[in-house]
Amino acid sequence: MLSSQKRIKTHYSSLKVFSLISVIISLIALVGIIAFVIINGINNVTYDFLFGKYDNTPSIYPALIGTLNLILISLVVAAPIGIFSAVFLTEYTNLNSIFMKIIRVSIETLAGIPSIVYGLFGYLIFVVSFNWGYSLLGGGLTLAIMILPVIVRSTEESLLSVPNELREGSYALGASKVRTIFKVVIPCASSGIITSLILAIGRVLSESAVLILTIGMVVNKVPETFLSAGTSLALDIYYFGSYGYPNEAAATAFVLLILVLLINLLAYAVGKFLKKGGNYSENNY
Amino acid sequence: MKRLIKTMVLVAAGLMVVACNGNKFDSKKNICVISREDGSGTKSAFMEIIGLKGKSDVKDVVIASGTAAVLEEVKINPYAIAYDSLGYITEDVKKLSVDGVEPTTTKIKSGDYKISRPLNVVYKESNVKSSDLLTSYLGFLGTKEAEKIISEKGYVVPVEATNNYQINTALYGTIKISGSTSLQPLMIVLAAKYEALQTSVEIEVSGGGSGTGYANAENDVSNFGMISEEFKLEKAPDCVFSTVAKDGIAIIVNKINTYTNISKDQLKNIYNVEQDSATKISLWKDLDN
Amino acid sequence: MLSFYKFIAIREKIMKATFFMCAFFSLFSLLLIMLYLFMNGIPFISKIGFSNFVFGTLWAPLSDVASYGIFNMIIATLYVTALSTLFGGTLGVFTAIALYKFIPKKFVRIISQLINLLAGIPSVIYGLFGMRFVVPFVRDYISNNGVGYGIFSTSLVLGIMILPTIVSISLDSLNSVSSKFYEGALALGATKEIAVFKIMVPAAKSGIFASIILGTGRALGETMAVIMIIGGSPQFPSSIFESVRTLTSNIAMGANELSGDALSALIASGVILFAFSLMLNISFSLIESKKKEN
Repeated sequence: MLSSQKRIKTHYSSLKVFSLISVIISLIALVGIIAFVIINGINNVTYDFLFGKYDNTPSIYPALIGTLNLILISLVVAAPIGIFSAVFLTEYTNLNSIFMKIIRVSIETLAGIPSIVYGLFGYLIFVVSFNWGYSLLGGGLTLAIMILPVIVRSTEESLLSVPNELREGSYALGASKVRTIFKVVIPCASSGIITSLILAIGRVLSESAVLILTIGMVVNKVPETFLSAGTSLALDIYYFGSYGYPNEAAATAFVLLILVLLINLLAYAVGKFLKKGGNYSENNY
Repeated sequence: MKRLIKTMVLVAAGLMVVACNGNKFDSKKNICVISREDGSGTKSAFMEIIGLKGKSDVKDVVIASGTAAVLEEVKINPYAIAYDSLGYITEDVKKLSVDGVEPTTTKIKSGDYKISRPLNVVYKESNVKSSDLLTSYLGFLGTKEAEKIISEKGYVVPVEATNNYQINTALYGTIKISGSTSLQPLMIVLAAKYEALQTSVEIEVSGGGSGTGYANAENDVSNFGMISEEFKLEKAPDCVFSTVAKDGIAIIVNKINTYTNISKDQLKNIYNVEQDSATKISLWKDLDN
Repeated sequence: MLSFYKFIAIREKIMKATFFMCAFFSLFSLLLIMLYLFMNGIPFISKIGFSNFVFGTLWAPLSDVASYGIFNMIIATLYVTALSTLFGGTLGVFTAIALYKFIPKKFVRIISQLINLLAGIPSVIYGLFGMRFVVPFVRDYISNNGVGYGIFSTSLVLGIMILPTIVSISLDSLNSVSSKFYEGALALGATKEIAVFKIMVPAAKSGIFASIILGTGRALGETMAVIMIIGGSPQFPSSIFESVRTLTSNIAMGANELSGDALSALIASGVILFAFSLMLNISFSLIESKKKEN
């Protein structure tokens, strides 16, 4: 082999080695973060920490309640709006396509706005303009707009994957468009829709920049109504970490990580086990 | 592939060995200056005492939010220097003497240790006068029971207490207190004692810094606002104040730090944003003169 | 009988309108967000002057003569975004390449899933990890002046954060290149490595580039992880081992305490951030649509 050929070969071989090292570094980073959270957090997760009252010792019970409320509010608002938007975009495509394009661009733009800018918006409209002060409702509504693109995109995908034969069959049997949508298309796409909702929940769990400006980070009181200020698990991690409670921060991170993991597993399981719609295309019609 | 994994494991092991070796303090490193957030009473009191009243933070300052966060940072950062509430800090950090004077409660009482400030509560006089509960709590803060707690926790009692607290079984309700994170730990203990004596009363103590204390008292968000500086009327024009305790501001460094003393001038130099770069103290060894 | 059909027709119309309203809601929210931001931010920028705001180097909203220069924050943001894209992009693209051809097939699926796990970790946890592990590590072993906070540590952590995005999209991109090119290269005598790096990667380059843009956008907009690692000083960044502030952390630090003009300054910087993100998103869409045309 010529020496120049050998040089080229070594050059590319070393690139290959670099790429293998990259994989290892990526995996080490993952293991490192998870190990860090587990090692530092697991000892501090006691019953009192999870469900006790926040008096002299910190408790994340207010955060648990706050997080649940936020998930509730944002899903109740974003799920119907998101699903119906996707329905409109897929089932009524014979309308003026310029409007469709505008809606699509809006959704993409919404998806690209940094979360702190959403926080500013939430602060200006709910905390100041509507005069609610810091409130779970304000945070939840802002989160709803934030997770809307996620829900619309995945629902659209699921709806598009429903084979047209089903729709046509339904029309042939005399059903109206709306009836077809609700009785045939949506149930068929249900596993994808449910998965997207579960992933949206995961998003809400992880969010904190939006909340720091809208719900007030009141870590020691359980919120009483939707208009109360409150806190969330992710926000508590920031509070504990920055205000000098590193052990509690790690413990909360541990709890949050487990929840996020469960959500992802749930989404995966739903995706796998509820997939009845796909079978139709495999049967020969 | 196998050889690659072997080398990675060896490298990782080598790194761990290096990491676990005891750290030596290197005085050629930069001083990491820690300061508090803008609303902090401790910060404004400290800056005023060392002669930098109202000035911005020095370049490269690291901002820690709250008394507890400052302590945490110094615990894990070998090159940090910070100021923090004397009553709050623990044995996990080292206290520097200032101009040869050690920061103890005796030296604060005698006035030898000059870096200290009052921990006050601010409130609207009319609100307190019209509420038996609030009047009672305010009075409690000056009784012998409170005095005992204040001294035990490492703070200085402002005025010698003369009476014991009289329990009033008719009192009930909630008291909301918020503000300075320097006063907060002490207030939590005081509040717990009061709640033990008056079982139908609940007291909520939250933080937020002296700025929040002023604002919440002024806006009726809290019954009492906690501040950790001399009361400044312009920050809460409708309020008055009462001193709960006097607290030293300790200059703290990490335990492996080899220095034991610092002069007030050197402190000013370190925290001064306008310091001439020729005379600026930026490395630890610059303190050796 | 006729009334039954009329009922259905009315229901159809109502539902169609409902679906339409829901779709319109996205446009409505977007316009609302832009309205609130611009209505607060733009007048402020014209009031104190665009140059003073964008190129001013003194951020002192609470002093007697208030000053609202965000230049230092812009520079810090640019540094952090660039450096994290460098770290995350390099690591990510090469990881994708390895997963594409150099890792045995049976491991590829599970390693991809594991790396996607990184994408699900909330950003505050990255911040906590950065603050408690990366910062002391950088301070003790990498930094030349004993400071762990700053641009370098933040970029390390953000690099890991954007890694999964880059890996998954680059990998998809590589996989979508027709395998004929690969087989052809091998047939002509190229080694596996040469075929991958000289033929397949350049063929997938638009997709890889798009993934990097997406990663950059994420790094640009990140707030919570940054605020815990960057230090917080509003000074001009003269070293990557120095406490500074980005646009995002400046907004988060100030928004709860500031009001009036200072708050408008933060909103204005939010507008600038919005503009930067928009530009990145548009570039991403353009690249994607060009890819689809090919």
